[in-house]
Amino acid sequence: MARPTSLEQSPWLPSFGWWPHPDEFGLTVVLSTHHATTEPASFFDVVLRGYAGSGEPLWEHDVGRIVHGEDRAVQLDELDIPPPPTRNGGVVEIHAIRGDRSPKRNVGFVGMWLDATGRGGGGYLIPTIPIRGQKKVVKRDDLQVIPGVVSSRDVETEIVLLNPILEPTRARLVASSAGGLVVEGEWFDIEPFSAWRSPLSDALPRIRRLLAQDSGIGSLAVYSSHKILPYFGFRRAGQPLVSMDHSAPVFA
Amino acid sequence: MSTIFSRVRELARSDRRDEPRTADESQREFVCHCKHVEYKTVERAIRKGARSISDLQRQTEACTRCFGCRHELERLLDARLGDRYERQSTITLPPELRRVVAPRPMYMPVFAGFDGREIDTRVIVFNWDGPPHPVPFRLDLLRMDGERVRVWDLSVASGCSTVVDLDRNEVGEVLPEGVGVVKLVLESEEVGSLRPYFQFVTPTSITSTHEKKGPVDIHRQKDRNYHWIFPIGSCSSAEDAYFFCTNTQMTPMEGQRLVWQNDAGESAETPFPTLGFSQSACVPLHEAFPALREGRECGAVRLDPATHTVAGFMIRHDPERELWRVQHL
Repeated sequence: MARPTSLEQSPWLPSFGWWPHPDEFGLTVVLSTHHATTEPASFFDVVLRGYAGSGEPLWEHDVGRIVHGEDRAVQLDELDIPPPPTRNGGVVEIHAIRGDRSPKRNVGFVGMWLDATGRGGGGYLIPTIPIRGQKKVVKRDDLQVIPGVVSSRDVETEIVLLNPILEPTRARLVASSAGGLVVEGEWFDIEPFSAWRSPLSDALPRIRRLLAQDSGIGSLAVYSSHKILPYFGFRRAGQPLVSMDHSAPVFA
Repeated sequence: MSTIFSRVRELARSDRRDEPRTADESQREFVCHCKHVEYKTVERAIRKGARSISDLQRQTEACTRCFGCRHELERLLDARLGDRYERQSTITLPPELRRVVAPRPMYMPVFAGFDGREIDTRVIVFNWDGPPHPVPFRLDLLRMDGERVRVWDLSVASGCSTVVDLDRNEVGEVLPEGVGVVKLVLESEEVGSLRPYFQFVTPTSITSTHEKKGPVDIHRQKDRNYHWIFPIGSCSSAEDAYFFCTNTQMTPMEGQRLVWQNDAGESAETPFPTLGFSQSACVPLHEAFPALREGRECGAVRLDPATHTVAGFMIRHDPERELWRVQHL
């Protein structure tokens, strides 16, 4: 199923996650009908796609139909697909179209899970997130927060920002020390359907000095012109990037 | 990229990181920290005839907001009244008391020397784009049996983060098994960015995720339309897997099971322990389902039946490299 067709024909919208470079992580997409619903008549047609740099997918994998009661796992290592062109990785799209009924609202989504394990250990386990279709009410789409970032000689926070829309998105990082001192980065662009990735101290060169008085701990605000999907994780010196989580919206 | 290093908010340091009060200090005064009901008030009510939690709720207002003092009140009633104590299996609000609208409490697991490991917990609350004044909140440290063992009254000023270290030095004595739960009760109706994240900190790794909220009404139980699951992907080295879960509802979790199902459709199950309100379990899935530890099989573990609202977390541990990763359900 071509991507435009699936998007135009279904009110069930896709969800997204970070598609890491396979040299760094092995990614499994876990598709659980139990997590989607308890309704026994439900069934889903699932397509996975990988993007890096444009809205034209680099690869597409048709999982086919899964019916209620099935839990399916797709290991990207076992698919004949190209890697993302850079270590920044890309965007993986999970489009699970529920076939037995429409969403209760105009649009909906069926979230799934990513379990990535690092080649050198560690990894991340994270739900896929849509751009539209969530029920939660947020105060604004242009701001998300990451409570608890660390930047010191021993620990670095790594930031990944996903732009899963067809427009370039502008983003800006603002770090705040525990005591309320801030360091503000400049606006930068994230290309459509791309992953932006950086150690926090590369993006905000003064951050270690800012956080030094608070044992290297502070928090981060991520501003963006359109809604994006920020991830963050930590790397101790000499250790792999162990775990990643998503940012939090500011709730209404 | 140039950066601006600016002081945008002048803040008294005392506003942003209050000194934690130990249970000994704060519990000498208050048994109910939401309603600021003192121990002596409850003792007086019992002397004047209170025989149950419901009586204490009516006469003192204790245990009418977050219900975190339930165990302490039960212990007081039991100690003072013995057989005359009218025990209630489920605590509800007496009908004449109006339900208090409060932000949903937020739960997070606490590892402080869990399983003899060098692992500690840190909680971070960030007030960004939120109330311009310092927002008070309370942290209750609970043992796995739901007993509250520490209380911290804290606040977070606008633009600031409040960082609380729940490490072995701070809480090791009151969590002898090295595991517990922290419950955050906001003293504000506005949640905004005040949703806390927690970190597990070890010599080799830091892993983080956000809290899980309790239900809007802890007395109301309804079937869920989806299962909580713990997804299991492929891995190249053995990883332990722990299913951590707190019952956030008054109705006990009984008759639940954990079902492991691989992507070939094969399944196995193990019973889930019965949990009362605020009680927790940390189930080692790798012991019940060895196949998922080795990464040989992929699939998911689900909590079945889908009847409760829980604060759940999945925790993976690579014992060879001593790396941890945590995520909420």
